[in-house]
Amino acid sequence: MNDATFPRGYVGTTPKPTTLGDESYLDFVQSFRKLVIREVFPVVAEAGQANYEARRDAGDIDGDAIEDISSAFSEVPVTRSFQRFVRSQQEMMWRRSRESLLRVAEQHVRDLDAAEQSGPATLESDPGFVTPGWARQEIHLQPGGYTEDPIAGLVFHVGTRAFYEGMNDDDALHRELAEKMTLPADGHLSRVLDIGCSIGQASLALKQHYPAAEIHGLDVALPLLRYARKMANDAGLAIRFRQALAQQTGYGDESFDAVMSYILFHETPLDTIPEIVQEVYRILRPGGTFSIYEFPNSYGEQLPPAQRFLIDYDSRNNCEPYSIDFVYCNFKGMLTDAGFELEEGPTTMNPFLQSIVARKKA
Amino acid sequence: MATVMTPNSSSDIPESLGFEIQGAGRRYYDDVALDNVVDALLEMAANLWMVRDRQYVLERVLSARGEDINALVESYTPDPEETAERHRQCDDMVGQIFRSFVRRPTADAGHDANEPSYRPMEDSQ
Repeated sequence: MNDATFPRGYVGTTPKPTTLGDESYLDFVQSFRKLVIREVFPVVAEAGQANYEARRDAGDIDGDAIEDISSAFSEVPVTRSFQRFVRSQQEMMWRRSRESLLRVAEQHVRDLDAAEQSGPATLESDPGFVTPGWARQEIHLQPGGYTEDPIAGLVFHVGTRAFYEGMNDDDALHRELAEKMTLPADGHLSRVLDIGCSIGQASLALKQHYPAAEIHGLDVALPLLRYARKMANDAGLAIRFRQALAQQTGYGDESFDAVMSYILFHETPLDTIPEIVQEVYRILRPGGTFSIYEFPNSYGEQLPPAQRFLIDYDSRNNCEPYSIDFVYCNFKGMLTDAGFELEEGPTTMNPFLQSIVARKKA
Repeated sequence: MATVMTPNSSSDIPESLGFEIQGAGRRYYDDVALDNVVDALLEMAANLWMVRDRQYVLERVLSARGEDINALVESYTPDPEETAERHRQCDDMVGQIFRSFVRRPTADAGHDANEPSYRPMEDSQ
């Protein structure tokens, strides 16, 4: 990154907010989020579960529908406060991050433009590309979402520091995902795709871990990709980024040895999921692997009530319009229908995520 | 002079962005006043931490230069222009902390927390 644009420096790989006051404010948000997630939610889970069971034992509710669970949880006062806290900290995080970065927005956009003329990273985008309305939601409440704000990549990078509670300042999580990506059984790895690459944190980690391999990153959101290219250039990494839909990548048949996705599928509408899965199957060579790190999926086996409550709340209140459909869909069935053979993937530092390895028969 | 007590007085997010976090937002409590109190409390706490953090940094910087901080602070006399600027900043902070009360002024203000988070968007080129 350009030190003239961010004279206050970086936290790990993430530019610091533009003033000490902004940094202090966002540090507060991060500490508050940690408290809410680690200390308040367990209380909500325990008290909500107890009330749910009491209501069920009393015959007030007779099933395990999410409406009944939410109703029982919401009767517990701490639940309302938890909901208020989570929503407010998310709003504070985005509002202050963007306000702070607006001070350097013009210079930053110039930096992003200049990155187009330098290398070694590249970015393919079609001026006629149509961004579907479903992708233009303000996911996680980020103003303008991933597609509407020219500085969305920078805002995302700075804002999500609080989301990761300080544990991903140096992209440690993304490096772990890249290092644990499952290789084809024959060990041959010359071409890898990070599908739904966002600002390219995992793409960079893949290139650093497999320097001899050709690394590609694909996403629907041009502002995020422009930021990814800038980060890759600054790191001297020759990564090839492309703006395209995950279900219409434009890559050739059997052209990749491995594909990796990180929290992609819960951000896409239900009807696109099998299309994306089939597209990945098409572009993987025989014996290729698809490493999937994703939201939990509960098809055929219900998650505990507290987790169902949390996912339902998160979907409605953190602009995750597609996550509920994903959580309860037959995701593994979609993978096997496409032809993949499945196995459990490696565990990661984020225990919330599920990890699946889908192999294309050799 | 800054406008005080407007819902987005310190926000530079343009109207075309921030559908989710601007406007009345969401209500979670039966009495929306509680939502406003919590938002105000959070802003107050954030601002308190900003002050403490800045003071910590300031003291470290001045100590490194061998300055008597207490004496310097107590004897400091701002000119009228600076005083006005500090009042403006104070107005801003008051607006930031208490804007939740005007953000959701009535019992039915804000979207119900059970509403899904989605709005129809056209495809865009």
